[in-house]
Amino acid sequence: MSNTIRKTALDRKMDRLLALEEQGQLKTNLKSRAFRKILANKLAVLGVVLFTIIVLLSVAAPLFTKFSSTQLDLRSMLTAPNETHLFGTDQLGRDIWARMLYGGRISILVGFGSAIGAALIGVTLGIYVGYKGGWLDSIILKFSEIFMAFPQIIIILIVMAITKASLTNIVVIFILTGWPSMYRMTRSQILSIKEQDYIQALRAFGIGDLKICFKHMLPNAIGPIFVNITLSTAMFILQESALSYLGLGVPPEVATWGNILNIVNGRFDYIQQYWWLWVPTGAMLTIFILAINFIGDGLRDASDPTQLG
Amino acid sequence: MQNKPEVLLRIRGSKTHFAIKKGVLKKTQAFVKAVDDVDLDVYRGETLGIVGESGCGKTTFGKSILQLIPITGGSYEYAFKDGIKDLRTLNKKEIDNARSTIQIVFQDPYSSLNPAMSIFDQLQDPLIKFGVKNKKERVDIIGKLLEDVNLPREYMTRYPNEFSGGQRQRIGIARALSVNPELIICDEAVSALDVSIQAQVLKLLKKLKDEHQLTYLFITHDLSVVEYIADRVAVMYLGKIVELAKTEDLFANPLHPYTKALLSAIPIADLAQKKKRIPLQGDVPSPVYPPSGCPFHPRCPECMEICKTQKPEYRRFEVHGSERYASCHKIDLSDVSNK
Amino acid sequence: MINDIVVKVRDLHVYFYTNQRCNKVLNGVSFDIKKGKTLCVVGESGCGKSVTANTILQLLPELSRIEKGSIEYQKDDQLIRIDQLQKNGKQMRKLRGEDIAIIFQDPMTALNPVYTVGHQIREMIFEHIPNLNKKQAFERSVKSLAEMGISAPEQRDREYPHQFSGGMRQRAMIAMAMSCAPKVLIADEPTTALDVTISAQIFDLINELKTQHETAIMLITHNMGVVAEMADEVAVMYMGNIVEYGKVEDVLTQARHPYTRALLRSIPVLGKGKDQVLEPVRGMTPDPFNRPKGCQFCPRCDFATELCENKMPPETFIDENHYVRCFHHEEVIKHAK
Repeated sequence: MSNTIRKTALDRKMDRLLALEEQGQLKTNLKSRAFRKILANKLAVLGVVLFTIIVLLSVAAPLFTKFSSTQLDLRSMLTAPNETHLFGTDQLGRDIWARMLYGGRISILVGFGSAIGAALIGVTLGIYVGYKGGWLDSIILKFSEIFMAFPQIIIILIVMAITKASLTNIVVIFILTGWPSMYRMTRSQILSIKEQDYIQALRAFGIGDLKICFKHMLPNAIGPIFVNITLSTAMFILQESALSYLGLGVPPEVATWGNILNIVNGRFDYIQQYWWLWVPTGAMLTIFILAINFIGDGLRDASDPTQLG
Repeated sequence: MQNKPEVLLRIRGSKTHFAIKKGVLKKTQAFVKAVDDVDLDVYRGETLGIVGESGCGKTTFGKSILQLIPITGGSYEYAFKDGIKDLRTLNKKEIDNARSTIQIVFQDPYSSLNPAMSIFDQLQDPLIKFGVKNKKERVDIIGKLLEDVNLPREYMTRYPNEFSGGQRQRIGIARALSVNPELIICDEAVSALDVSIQAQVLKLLKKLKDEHQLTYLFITHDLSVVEYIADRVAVMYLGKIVELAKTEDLFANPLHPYTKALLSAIPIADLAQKKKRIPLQGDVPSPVYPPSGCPFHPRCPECMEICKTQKPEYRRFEVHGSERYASCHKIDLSDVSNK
Repeated sequence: MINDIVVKVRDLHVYFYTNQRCNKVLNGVSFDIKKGKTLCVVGESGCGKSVTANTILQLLPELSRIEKGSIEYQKDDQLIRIDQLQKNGKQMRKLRGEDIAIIFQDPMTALNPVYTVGHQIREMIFEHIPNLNKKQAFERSVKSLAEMGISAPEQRDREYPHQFSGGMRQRAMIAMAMSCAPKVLIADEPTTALDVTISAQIFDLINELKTQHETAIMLITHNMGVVAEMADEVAVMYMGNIVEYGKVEDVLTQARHPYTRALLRSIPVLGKGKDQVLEPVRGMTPDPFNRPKGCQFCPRCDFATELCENKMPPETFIDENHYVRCFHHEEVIKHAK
């Protein structure tokens, strides 16, 4: 125990703040608190940057490659990366870089679309049924449990057995298996919000249920919903890739990140000899998922008032 | 009393029981008797205080008047402009209209305003519902209401996080006033506020009562506040009213042993007033299994044999021409009437 | 008697650094906690009364620190500078509970629901008196429960917190706090969450500790009634300062600070009836990030002058035990007569 306490990094931070405060330079801006916390979160900022780059590359794909994602070129099959083919070509001579960019379009669309679809169903049900409660609530809760317990792969196999693989089918299946978690999250939010006195006050005025639900309660639950949409987007992109890799996803001619990887499925020799078939795509997929997760975590921390900063 | 005051709300046999459900099949195991057989008349223009400790059912009773919770039994006859009607027998349309006559002010100034909406946005919906279709008119009305509660009208565009607790509470009062109610239920309306702010709100409530000819049902656990604001006071214990009297009478000469103990337990901010405390043993029993006989008997310092088995009746007394009610087997009026 | 002072706080400054701002929560607070006496700290929310209590035990949040001032604790013959101890150092941990104990406002969340009440008390005992065997510790925990007026203490010892009512839990908390016989008990609004009849029981208990064990008590409250009933000495706090400090008789009947007077006039007092005049303190508490330059109460004060606007009044002693932070205290007391 010494009388001269060593200055830690924390102490220096506090010294700096104190000096600024003495100069009267600090001001509280009520609305920017969450925004400021996001900016202070370096990982989240990195996530936003990576996310934006990949989305831009995919959306503006023709600007970054002169090849098409489906054009076969049987004269240059399995060429290693070179000046014309940045990441080489696959076994049918398609340019990997082009497929990665165009595939990103579909993968992101599938992920984001499924997340939005699941959120629409889950949030709408969660808010209204959570607010009303009663038998409808118990039934839908049980329903959501069944959907969550049912292995996704089985549903997909059933659908594949009846129809054939298509983009729409994949999205529909993702929405069907994705809404329960959205529903349960929203419902638990609503259960606490509906006990707040301002909701009681609206009821005391006889304001209609729909207005209470979607005008007064929804804005208070929107933070966690956004976080959930972000994180489910990442989850759905991963699932799509996994399914496509197994050949159960979108039709093989459509380029998605999963379908690009599908080439090496069961071909151990490909994995060993032609690394460019899977390493670039796998890296891009991993980076994109990480970026989304960073953003989601940042959003969650920023919208959580119990975390100081 | 010379002329009988007009009864605004006559409550008879009010009961609110909540079922406790347990197990997989959600079988009802027992009932919480939050409010159990309460009779009460609320006179037009008075402030009726309801005091009691937590869990005595005072808040549930207040909310049951607004018909916001399922009520188990009893009648709530309200003197509407077009005749006396029981609130419980009204159809949905009638009850919706009745909501403009009975309003509520909540305890917690932080949860009583929606943090995600501006003051104007959240105060305008009730006005729309009760027929103010023109937006300019709504702006006028809300501006006027804010001025009524001593806030500048410009504040309507602000969000709740820009206000202090006292200001929020005043906005909550403005919201209740927006539909010109007759009866306002103040559910611990000043309990969560700091002492210096409490006085502001109490004075405001008194002023608004005169300006808008309001009737208050003032629910609180703070007896000093009730003494300041109420005309009559009802004391609740375990879901029942144990004593009801004019404020002066109740504070000068409490009849029920519980009221006596309650009054003696309050710390007074006045060194000149020293009093003898009547210690109460133990805690308030669970309202799921209330004691047999008089609900207060396990803690009562004056408990007799009869109290343990027989429920005391809620009786009417007349002392010096003013009426009062109490439910206790051992009421000694000589004590009171000699004074 | 100098020896009666157990905790001596002088010119204490504590700043909080959350949300990229600096909040000067305490701005020069001085007081003594004396053996066998109750010091009541009274003030409105945000005045810094709880921070004062937590600072004595160094229980401050991470983004905060003691900037200036001293906290001295008289341990037998030894004088310990609490403000210079490491926040979570061995010495500080030893002081907590063994010498200075604290109980909090909400007894519902202060006990861990998965362990029995007795187990939690014994954990505390083992921490500070390590060479006790199980049986001795059990006897000690049962004894401390019994001392707090809990009936059937052997059985209660084995029960879980949810089997206790609110008042019983606060008793158990006090039992835990007192199990190592600390010299100082800090009670931070111990009855705010409890009903009046139950708080009366808790206050009786605290008074008993004071007279029987000569425990020095620091009681934090917002209720002037509690002050009148419990205190030997009072510190009235406003915006991070003690504005008035002294014996309870002096402060309540001879209040010299305009804020103390205003506070006393703004509360309804039982027994004064319907016609008592309430005078609310005008205006509202300032934003802690936008404090008045001089006296913190200045914008709401009837006696304020230019001097008050620019300068913080020093602690002016009326007599040995009574001080006030006001330039115009003479005028205040004259005005009141």
